[in-house]
Amino acid sequence: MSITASGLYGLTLEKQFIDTIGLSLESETAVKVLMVLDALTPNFDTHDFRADVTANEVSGTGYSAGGNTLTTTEITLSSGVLTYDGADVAWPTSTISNAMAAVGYFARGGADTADELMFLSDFVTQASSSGGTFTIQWAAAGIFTVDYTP
Amino acid sequence: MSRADELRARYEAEMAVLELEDQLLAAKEDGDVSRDLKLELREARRVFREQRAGDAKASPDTIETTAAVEQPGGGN
Repeated sequence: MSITASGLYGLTLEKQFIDTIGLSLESETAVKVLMVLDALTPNFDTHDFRADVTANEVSGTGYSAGGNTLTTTEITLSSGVLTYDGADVAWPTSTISNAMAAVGYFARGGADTADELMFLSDFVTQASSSGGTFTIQWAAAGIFTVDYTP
Repeated sequence: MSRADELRARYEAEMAVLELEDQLLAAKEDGDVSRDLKLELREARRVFREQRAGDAKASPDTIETTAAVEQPGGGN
């Protein structure tokens, strides 16, 4: 079992197309980012709620289960490409071991069985912090893109 | 570029991002976010992150997806 690729969660994408999510990716409160261990085997076709990843969520000093809110989120359109992005996410004064990926999801404030998974960003190599700041710096090109004029 | 110039450029790039993020939050509160403001922030983040490459604990690549549109088939 391991994380071998990044991706968008198809079932949530479907819900957004058919308008049954009721939450915006540009929300300043509803999108959160948590981190998972390499023990997770993501299934982008069948995994749909945070409950599918919580067993493999990282833990440690300075890190709360469920992760941090993604802020200053934005969707831009340019040259046939939709880009989703937000501020880099950080856990100051944290001790976190072997984080392997970031998972973005819609946080509804209750059980993890109700929070729809949106994306998983593979770090490729495990990352840790020891009493310092753990920062996820999203790629210069954004968190994810959709080329709608291929 | 000297070390001082490099640090100045990084500081200016970060300040540009922070100022635009403040503008975006204010615009969201007003319910009036312009496309231009979002594109400006997108570009500022790109510049800032390229300058900071390698500084963070984790720097995942962009998830790139393609919305393929299949050629419609012909009918009889």
